[in-house]
Amino acid sequence: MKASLPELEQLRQQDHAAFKSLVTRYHQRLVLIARAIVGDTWAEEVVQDTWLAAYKALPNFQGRSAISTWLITIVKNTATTRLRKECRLVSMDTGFATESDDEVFMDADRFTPSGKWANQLGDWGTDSASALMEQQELQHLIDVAMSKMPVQQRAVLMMRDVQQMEVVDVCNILDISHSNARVLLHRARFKLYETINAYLESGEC
Amino acid sequence: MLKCREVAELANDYIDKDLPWHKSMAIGFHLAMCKHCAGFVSKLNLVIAVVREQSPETISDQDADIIVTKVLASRDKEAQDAPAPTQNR
Repeated sequence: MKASLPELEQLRQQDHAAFKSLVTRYHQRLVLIARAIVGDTWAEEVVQDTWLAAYKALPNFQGRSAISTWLITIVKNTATTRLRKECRLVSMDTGFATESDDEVFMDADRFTPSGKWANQLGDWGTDSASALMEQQELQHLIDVAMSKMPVQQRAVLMMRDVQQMEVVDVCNILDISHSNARVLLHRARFKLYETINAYLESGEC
Repeated sequence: MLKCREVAELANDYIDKDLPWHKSMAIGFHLAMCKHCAGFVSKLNLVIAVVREQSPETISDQDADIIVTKVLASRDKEAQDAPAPTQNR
């Protein structure tokens, strides 16, 4: 999201209210990316350092890229510096799971031995995301499914499908291969597919 | 012709336009012939649209205040710790 011009000017002047609004909007996303790079132990500290670096650099922010992209670049650099300083490659905290490049996304029993769908896919009754999101219980189930995703999976989903970043940028930021990014994204989407499908087919999850 | 299973496994790459043209064409051809796979791809597109509709996670006003206060304190500390500029004689 690009900052509006008056907001950009306020940010350049390091206006506290404008900066706080930025923190409110982007803190969680930056924590998610930091966790995907350095793990849980240092993520909050890395993001705190990111906010300090961003605050100091705001007067020079030209607004040529979206502010979210600018912040993500800072968090990536801060996290990478922190990793080097700690002289460790990866923090293996709870919730930080790497994924293999295993290409199998769907259960084999969904298909017949000849490779056709074993069962007819149910009808979701709508082509509208807004209509789906009006179902509060489903919205809750999606929130839960997303919160349970391994952190890298969720970070890739957020960067690709929410931020709509290019795969190459996601790979650079998270320092993962293109195929690994694909696998993470596909698994995340399939997980949500399964969540929505289970709810719409049976009314429960 | 590709099998439904192969199409399902490549569906995300097809949506993301992350396939060689001949593979993409083969999937397009399959989708025109197979309503099950076409339905599956439509649903995956809907999942992506749902993700885009998710309201961004924000933090509370109080938490934002704490972060901003820490940032300002760190900035002040850095300014205090910085060596005073030397004067040319």
